[in-house]
Amino acid sequence: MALRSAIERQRRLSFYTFILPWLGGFLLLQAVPIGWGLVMSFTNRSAFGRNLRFVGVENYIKLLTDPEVLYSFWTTLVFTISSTLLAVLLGLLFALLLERNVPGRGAFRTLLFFPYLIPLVAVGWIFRIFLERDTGFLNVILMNLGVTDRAVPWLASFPRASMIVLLIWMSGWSMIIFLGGLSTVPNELHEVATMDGARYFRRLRHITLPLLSPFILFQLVMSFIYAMQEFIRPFIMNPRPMRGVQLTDSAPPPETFFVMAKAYHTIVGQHRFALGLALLWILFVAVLVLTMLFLRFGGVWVYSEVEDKR
Amino acid sequence: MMVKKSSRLTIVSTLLLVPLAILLLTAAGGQEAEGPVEISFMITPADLPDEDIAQFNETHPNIRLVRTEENWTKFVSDAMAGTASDLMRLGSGSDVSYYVERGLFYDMTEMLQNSEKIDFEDIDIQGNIEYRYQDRWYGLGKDYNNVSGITYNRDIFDAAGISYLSETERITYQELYQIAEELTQRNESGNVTTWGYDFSPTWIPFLASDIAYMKGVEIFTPDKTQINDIPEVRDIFKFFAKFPVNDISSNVRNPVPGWSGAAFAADRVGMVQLGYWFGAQLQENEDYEEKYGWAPSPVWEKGGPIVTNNLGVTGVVMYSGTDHPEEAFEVFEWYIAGEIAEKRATTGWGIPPLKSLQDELPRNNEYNRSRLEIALEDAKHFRQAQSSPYITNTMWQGVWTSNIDPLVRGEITEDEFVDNYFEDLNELLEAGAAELQ
Repeated sequence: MALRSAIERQRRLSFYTFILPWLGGFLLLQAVPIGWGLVMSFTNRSAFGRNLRFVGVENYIKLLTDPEVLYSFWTTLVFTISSTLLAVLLGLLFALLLERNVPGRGAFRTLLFFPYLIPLVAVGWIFRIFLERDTGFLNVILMNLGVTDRAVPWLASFPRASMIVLLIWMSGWSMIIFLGGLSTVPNELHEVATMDGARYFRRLRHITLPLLSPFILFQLVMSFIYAMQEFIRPFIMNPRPMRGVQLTDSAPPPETFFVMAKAYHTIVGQHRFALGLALLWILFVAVLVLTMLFLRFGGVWVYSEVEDKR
Repeated sequence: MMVKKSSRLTIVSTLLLVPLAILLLTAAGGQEAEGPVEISFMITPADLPDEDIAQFNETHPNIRLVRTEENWTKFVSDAMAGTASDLMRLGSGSDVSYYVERGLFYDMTEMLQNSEKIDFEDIDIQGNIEYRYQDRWYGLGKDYNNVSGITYNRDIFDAAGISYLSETERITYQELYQIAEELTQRNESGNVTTWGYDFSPTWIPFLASDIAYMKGVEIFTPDKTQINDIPEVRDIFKFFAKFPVNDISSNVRNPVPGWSGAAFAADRVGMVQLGYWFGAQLQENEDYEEKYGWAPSPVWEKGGPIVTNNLGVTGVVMYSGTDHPEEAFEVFEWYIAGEIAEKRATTGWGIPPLKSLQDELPRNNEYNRSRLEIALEDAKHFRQAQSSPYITNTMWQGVWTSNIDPLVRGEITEDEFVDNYFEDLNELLEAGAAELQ
């Protein structure tokens, strides 16, 4: 008994010893700054403020009653839902198409996944140039095809849609996840169903999609969280002219002035730290609540082989 | 195998103490070592090239000059941590009051008065006025310009059948608008192909300030915490809003490719207010002498007062927290009055801050002579831009940018635009004032 207890102590000690460097780093570099950020959001902290004082929830009330901030949340949500659904649906479609043994399957998989490998900033610039009104390739194609006789200022007239298209272009990530998921679907089930006369769409509906549903939910949740935190691309795809100034100096149009970009602009551009931090905390709570709701209601249609003991 | 208690203690202590020791050693790296004093200069490579740094370091063995990336976002965080660069290139001197009120810039008045390299009497006061705040000097311009002076494209004027602008007689801002309207060209589908005139939002506070002076009104309330919401001031901003609203200047619907100057150089804009320095950039075009014309800054009324600006002047300031003010000032003197300054003057990219260097400016052809004479004439009418220590020019610019689009799209009226614009500016001014209480 004493030996067992000594071994247990030894195990615990080893565990805590090995985790200690990480824990120290986490506390010092993450927990403390996050906590500091929370405390500061209840103050009047600015970049060069002289008298730091506690203002309670004043910053939060100011933000939650500001129509521009509320619009920013609204447009972020619209962008998030549209881009998430489209990227996941397209990823699923590509995965289902490329799961089959078709000629050039490897090449297509590589091509579709390739945009995901390009750094975010480069993708933003590619799209900025691609969608440019006068010299952009999209307008050149459309005008040569006779689809339109007028060069369309895509970034200016459809800023949010331009951003959504960009994310769809990067749906290769969803495809990879779903291809991985599809490989876990037992082939026997398809064989048995086929022998019973089930055609492709029936098998898709009753076998593939239910077994793939945990992957779909995972991808929806992750894409949702990432999209809610969209930050740099609105600045890169800002239709306003840039002149050797910092990319973030000029605010994007309201449609793509997403919450993260707005918080950054408030903190860095206007030196209003506390207000910007409060905005980030509101975003955090919003993402947390929406993700929990998503998981709660999304879980209803997700297939699981583990029995629900609730 | 059991580990002894003392061994366990050693392992835990090592794991805890090693990172701490590394952290302390890293932090201690900033302590002074023997040898030359390091002076960091936050500036673009174009304004302080490597060869000039090497030349400085060779001739000043007591100092090691290093260039740091020009990044005012980083400056804010560095200044909060007390580790900003010793010297900084400031894009616009009109921000001096903002940073001085926050205790970030070094008062260089005595240094300048006692300098052996910079003759205080030689300083072109009018050209450097933005670097003086409450009768104290916080830096000098590296070179200045008549940024409200007009540069125009003769080919576009010819195409529109408009006669060239006079080099001596000033047009009014209303005439500028009318000419710009006539110069603007659209294609069959209605998209603008040539803008009559274009300006960057950065220009707005300065051009508005000129017009306010000429109208005899103040943009700010006396305590600088609010915009002076009177019809005369409202009209100034409505006037500038008309350009993008009527597609005479670039806007969200008809954006210029690149920025105003680049679009002008690409024959897409008829007129710009960029001033003397822009002439040096345009010389990169082969037919610059024939193609580009120069005109003095516009006035509000014919025969009325003349007020021009220099967009705050790009200059050099010193960080108040520098550990080596003497050495930093030595670099400052070299940059403003040394060999590098003489070289800069001969390029014609701006009028030197010292009167003695102004003879070095190029007058080799009609083009350079014309733009210089206009610039020097405009410079006689410089006034310190109306600004507030509670807001930076970048903040101001951001407010214009975010408010103009709904007006261009026709979603709001002119008055609603001005209301929103003033409301956002007042909010920033209020926050800036609260910061100093």
